[in-house]
Amino acid sequence: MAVDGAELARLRKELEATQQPAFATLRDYLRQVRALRVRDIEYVTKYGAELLARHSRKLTLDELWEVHEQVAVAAMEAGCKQLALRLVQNVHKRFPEGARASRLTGMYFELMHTPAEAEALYAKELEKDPCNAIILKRMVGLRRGQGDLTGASTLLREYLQVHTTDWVAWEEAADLYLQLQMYQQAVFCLEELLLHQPADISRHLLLADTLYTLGGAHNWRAARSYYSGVIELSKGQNLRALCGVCACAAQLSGIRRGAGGSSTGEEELPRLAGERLQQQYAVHCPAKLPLVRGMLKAQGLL
Amino acid sequence: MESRGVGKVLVLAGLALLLATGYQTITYREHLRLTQQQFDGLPLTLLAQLLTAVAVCALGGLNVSGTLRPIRVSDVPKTVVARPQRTDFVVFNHRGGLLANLPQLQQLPMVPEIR
Repeated sequence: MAVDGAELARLRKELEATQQPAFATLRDYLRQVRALRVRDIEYVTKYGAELLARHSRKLTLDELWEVHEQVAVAAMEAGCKQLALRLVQNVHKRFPEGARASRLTGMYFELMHTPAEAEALYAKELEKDPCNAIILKRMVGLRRGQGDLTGASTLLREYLQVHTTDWVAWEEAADLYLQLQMYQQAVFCLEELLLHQPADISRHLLLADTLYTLGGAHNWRAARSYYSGVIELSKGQNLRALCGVCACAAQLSGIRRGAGGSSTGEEELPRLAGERLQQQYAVHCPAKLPLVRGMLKAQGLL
Repeated sequence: MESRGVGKVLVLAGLALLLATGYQTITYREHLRLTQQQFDGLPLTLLAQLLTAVAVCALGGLNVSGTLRPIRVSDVPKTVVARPQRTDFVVFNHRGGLLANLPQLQQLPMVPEIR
């Protein structure tokens, strides 16, 4: 089974088509969601409940409990408290001593607005094992849920000093720093993340956007190189990267007009990007083409 | 292909040299044991022979494998997920809780209890 968005869309259409979707479709859909890390709260809750209510015997044991966790988290995010409670109780009965089960129970306490109980539960787990990565990460989530972003980022920094290969934690750290508007730190975290996930276009774009936001000639040049990398990776399809190249060129040309002189290479790249942008809009969205042309004219690329 | 033939010859020659070096090392160690001397390391000649054997094998291997191609990211464009789900760090202080009021999430089938 291929892991991509087209497959996910196809499975979703199949699920919407009938009142009682087939077991294979339900199971494959949840697998795709897990593999792609898509945040699809509504569908996962609805179809996950369906799968566990009607077809739980057909799942392998490992998958059964993974689906329990996946649907429990989705149900908690969607506010379906009864379903969440039933799933958390099931997991707790099956794994009375596990850290992952404790985490799920703690998440339920967080949902029901009793963070003190959640914190007590996590403290008990940390007494058993002070280096438990799962619970340490959950403490970060707890702080973030309480609105204490600075506290969460401090905890996460301490965690990352020990566990430097945990790329999901680097991703979360980047997200936290972006929310706190600490862009320099966010750039550091995104660079670490790119070391682990070099082929992920969305991470390249996020780093390029953050560098562009930081501003300054050095950062605009770096952002331009990342946008160019995305254009290469996506074979010129990614519109955001094309716009990014044009925007960086506009900022840099402002500086150059002051300093004087530019190389032909530097002028050719945004010109080509602008042409490609117009081509793409002409094909996919011709109604907005005049807006694009206006933007390019203002940037001096038309 | 001619270069492949040369490559194969080089690999065989390199392997033969490697085996010869190994045999010479074993006889050298036996000689040291008989004369009650410590084995401190390979003499320079044997070391040079070993490195030559490795270099010849590597050259031959590169020739046999043909033209090297650059590493390419897959041709199928990978799906871009802008805000991926991080289960470890999920929070609940957002408006997603209102989704429970949707009609399709009001009549969910109840998951049986596990005993």
